[in-house]
Amino acid sequence: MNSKLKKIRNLFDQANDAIVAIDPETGRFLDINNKVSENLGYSREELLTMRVMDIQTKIPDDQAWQKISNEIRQNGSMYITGEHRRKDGTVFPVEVNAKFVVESTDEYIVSVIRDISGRKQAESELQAAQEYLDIILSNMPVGVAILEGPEFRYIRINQVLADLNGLPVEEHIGRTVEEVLPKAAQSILPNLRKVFKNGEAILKREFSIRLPSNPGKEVNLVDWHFPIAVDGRIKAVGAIIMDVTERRRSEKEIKKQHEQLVKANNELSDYHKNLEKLVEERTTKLNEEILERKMAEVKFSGLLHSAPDAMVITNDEGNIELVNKQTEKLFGYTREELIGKRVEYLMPERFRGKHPDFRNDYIESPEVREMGTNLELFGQGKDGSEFRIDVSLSPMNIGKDKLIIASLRDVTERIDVEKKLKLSEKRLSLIFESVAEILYYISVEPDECYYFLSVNPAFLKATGLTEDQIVGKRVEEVIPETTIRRVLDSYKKSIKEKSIVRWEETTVYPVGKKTGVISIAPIFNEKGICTHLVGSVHDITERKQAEEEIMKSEERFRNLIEQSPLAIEILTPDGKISNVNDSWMRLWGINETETAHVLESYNMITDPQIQELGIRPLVEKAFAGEEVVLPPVKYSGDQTSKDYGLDIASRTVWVQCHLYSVKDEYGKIEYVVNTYMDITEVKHAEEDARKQQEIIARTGRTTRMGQLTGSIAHELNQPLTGILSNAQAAELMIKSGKWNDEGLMEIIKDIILDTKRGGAVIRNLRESFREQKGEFLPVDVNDIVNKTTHFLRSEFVTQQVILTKTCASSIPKVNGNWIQLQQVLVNLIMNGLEAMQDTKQNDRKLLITTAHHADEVNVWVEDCGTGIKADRIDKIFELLATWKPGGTGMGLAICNSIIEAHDGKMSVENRSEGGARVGFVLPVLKEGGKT
Amino acid sequence: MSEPTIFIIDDDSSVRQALTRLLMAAGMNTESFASAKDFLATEKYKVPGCIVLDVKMPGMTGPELQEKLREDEVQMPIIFLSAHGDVPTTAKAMKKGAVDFLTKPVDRDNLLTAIHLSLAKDLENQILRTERSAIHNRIKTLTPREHEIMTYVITGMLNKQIAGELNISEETVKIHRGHVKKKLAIVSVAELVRLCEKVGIAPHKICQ
Repeated sequence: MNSKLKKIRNLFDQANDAIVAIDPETGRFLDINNKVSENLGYSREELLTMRVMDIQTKIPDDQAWQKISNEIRQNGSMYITGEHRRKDGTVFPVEVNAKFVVESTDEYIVSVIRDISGRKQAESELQAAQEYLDIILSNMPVGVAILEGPEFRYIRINQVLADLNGLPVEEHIGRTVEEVLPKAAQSILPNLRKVFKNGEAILKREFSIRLPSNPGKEVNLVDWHFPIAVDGRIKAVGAIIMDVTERRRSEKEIKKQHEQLVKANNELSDYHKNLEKLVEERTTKLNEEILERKMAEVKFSGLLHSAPDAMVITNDEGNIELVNKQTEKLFGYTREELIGKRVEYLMPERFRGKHPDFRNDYIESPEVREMGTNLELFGQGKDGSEFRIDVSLSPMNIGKDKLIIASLRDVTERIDVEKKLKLSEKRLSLIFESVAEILYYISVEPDECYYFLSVNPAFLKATGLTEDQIVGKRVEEVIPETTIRRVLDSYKKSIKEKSIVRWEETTVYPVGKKTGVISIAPIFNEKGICTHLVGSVHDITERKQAEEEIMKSEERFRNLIEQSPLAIEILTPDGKISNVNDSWMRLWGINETETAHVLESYNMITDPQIQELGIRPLVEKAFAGEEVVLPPVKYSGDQTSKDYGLDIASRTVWVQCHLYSVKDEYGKIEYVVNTYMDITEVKHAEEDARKQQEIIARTGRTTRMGQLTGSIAHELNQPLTGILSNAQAAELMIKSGKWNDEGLMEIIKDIILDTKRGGAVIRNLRESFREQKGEFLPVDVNDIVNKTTHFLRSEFVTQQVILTKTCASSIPKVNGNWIQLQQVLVNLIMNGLEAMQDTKQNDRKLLITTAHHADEVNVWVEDCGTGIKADRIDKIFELLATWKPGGTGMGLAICNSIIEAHDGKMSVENRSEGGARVGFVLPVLKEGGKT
Repeated sequence: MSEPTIFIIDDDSSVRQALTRLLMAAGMNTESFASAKDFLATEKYKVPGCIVLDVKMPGMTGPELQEKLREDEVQMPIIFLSAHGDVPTTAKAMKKGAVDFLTKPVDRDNLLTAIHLSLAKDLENQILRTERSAIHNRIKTLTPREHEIMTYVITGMLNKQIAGELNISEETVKIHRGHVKKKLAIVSVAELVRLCEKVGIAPHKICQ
């Protein structure tokens, strides 16, 4: 042990206070000083095996200790009062200052324990003193009462005054003046109220009254009323009442005699007058002095020592006359050390010089007030430490002496709290300043005038206006005329209905056209009057544009059907053709008039040729809502012409029909789309087939999108649920008035997050719907894998499939079309999921792997399904090869054509451990751009 | 009885947070869980309340939790929330006793109505359970013979017939019958039949 440590150990052991170090977990004593064993009567060794619960009666068990220990940990330190049990079983009161200490990795609680038996004794002594004062009070020759404001209930009254009031003492206590003295109350109360309100004594007021104790006789009374303050606030009024009837009567007699004497001797009259005056003055003065001395005693002893604040009483020269126990505790001086000293003795050196001037000013115009409002006042203790204090002053005159009572309070802690409050305000305003959401604050003035109080930077950014153009202006001056009517109506509605009002609005600002959802929330004061409005604008300009784009995309889709080189017919649910496109007419080689003729008579369900081929059940299935691919059908031109009474030689074609139905939101079939494929051409020319497939790719993609609506709805409805529930929660909170800024701010934050999440889903959707431009750019296959699996997340969840991705790090880019490659991957993943539909839940695993070998990049998807039958594996990439119920036979064929267009190659194989592995290989993008 | 608790089970933390807020603002006790497993682990389903349950969740799905609670004879009412509800799932859940099947985003009024309905149902369940367990406790005091006689009595047979069936004296049947009435604190056969029905004791099948 080095000398410094030794010194600390010494200090620790010799300290006047008991100090212990405790393990916060178990409550076991880790270390103690000598004072602890001295206080408790246990040896040091004994104590080191004991725990807090063994000696502190307030902490009986582990649970109680855990609670206290956690509180100390959270607050850093804590004051605890309780009792300690000595070895001999006796208990004594203690005050413990516990502090949580963290030293590198060690945590412990250091407690300084103070035996407060002495203080408790002092308190009981004080009580004895008070009882003593009670005896004095009740034996005083004048009536004394203390009335607690503002109803003026008797809390003390002595026998003399009770006799005057004609009721026993017990019947006064706790009752108001009005209850005790219903008749006299009207003349007494105004004075009591005045004293209570102004804090100034009303001294020596003489009046005559008929008392209930003797209503036949009018008595003369003199009363004194003075305020009694606790903690600087007036709590009660003291009353002293003296019966001067006898004196007045004798005075009257004296007067009578005097008048007689005047008659008898004029010369003596002046002398008598003087004498009378002198007698009165001296009597009153004497009485006053006696009473005030007594009252001073009551005040000093009773109130002074029980006051929670330190109280210092000085005379008009600034000398300390009296201090209470709290003063001794706060400054660390004993009473004897302070009495007779200048009050400046309690201040830091630098304040001592100017203080006597302040003090003298106060003596000139004494009043009850706070000292140095907005000034930082400091006290200095005996040990030289400085601390911030609040000081209240009140003057007090006792006889000739002018005294000043100063009550001092240590506010170090309170100031900390104030600082923290300021910090939190600052944080709030930071949020206001930095959120992307537009926020503004409107002041509501009478006559439906609304003024902008403040707006956040997001507001300025969105509108392009400067703060000077908005703040302090009426809303009519800022908001364009076209919308102002609606805005004002919404404000009125929001105030009237006490709820948030929302509407969508498009406004032209200097920065351009903006569409936003505006919310107005009213704020009411405690009287229920709306004083402010909080507005927020959620900018949905982008969303609007997105919606417009989707509409455009739909239009493009319609154009696509009309312009499509593929023959398409739209059939009504009963089998008739309602629309066809130009390609359809080209397919059959007929013109518009002839087409109209066919449209009138043809019905697919009753088509004799379909009946003949035995595929009518398939057609009926299609009209029942299933997606159906009919086997190739050969239409001979001559036969068709005959069937429809056409006098032309139309073509003989091999077609394959792809039927799918379009349903309304209730699942009812609106129409069936029949797409014809001329497979003769597919068979004859590979080159032509490639072109066709690309066209099919487009329709195939939209079909796939249809299958994915479930995923999209899920992805979009999640954030929508969050937004709706949050908004409705906020609405409820505001309606019920149980809200605070922080809570609402959190809700707004969450709403913003969810809105962004929803926006991301829509963007993703838009990308997938966008027309393929066939652009080839450097693409990272890992990026495709990650985004695609994220997009299909809900599919994995629904189908309870565990996804494992193994992506090669730092994979080189390939030259490709992002959307097309994503489509290939979506296809492979969906196939994999479908293949595992009958697999046991725990075995449903999908593996996606990316790898890089030499100048090739590999991507493959593995499932644990049934695998692919050997006789099918070679044909799997052929067009229309399908073995799945409802399959189109196009998915993998399209994938193959896409990968071939990327100069890549698809591969498929069964895994030895079961399931299939399907993937593709692409050439790495060479330096310089082109592959 | 303690305040009922609304248990929100949803793997989406934003939905969970928003629903908790909404229900708390409506003055309800809530507790939320990120998965069905977490909820089962706490055994919270023993307290009064109801469950607001997401359908699609990783691990155990909403309908799977419903099935598990049914197997364990937990009768806590369930309200399903689904972001994309399809007809078969909804029908299956409702058939298995779900109080409601709501589609996300769910409107406050719809949700609160369903919750109030669930809590009423839960209370009703509890009353029924208490009643049943009281009856069971009384039935436990019967001897095996008394129990047997009881199953005959509730078929509506006369003492004489029962005696014949069991090959004992009519007097003995009478005594047993008296014990049953006393122990179960009932006065009429009709009352006994109702009581047995409530706890699922079937009348003895008589071979003709």
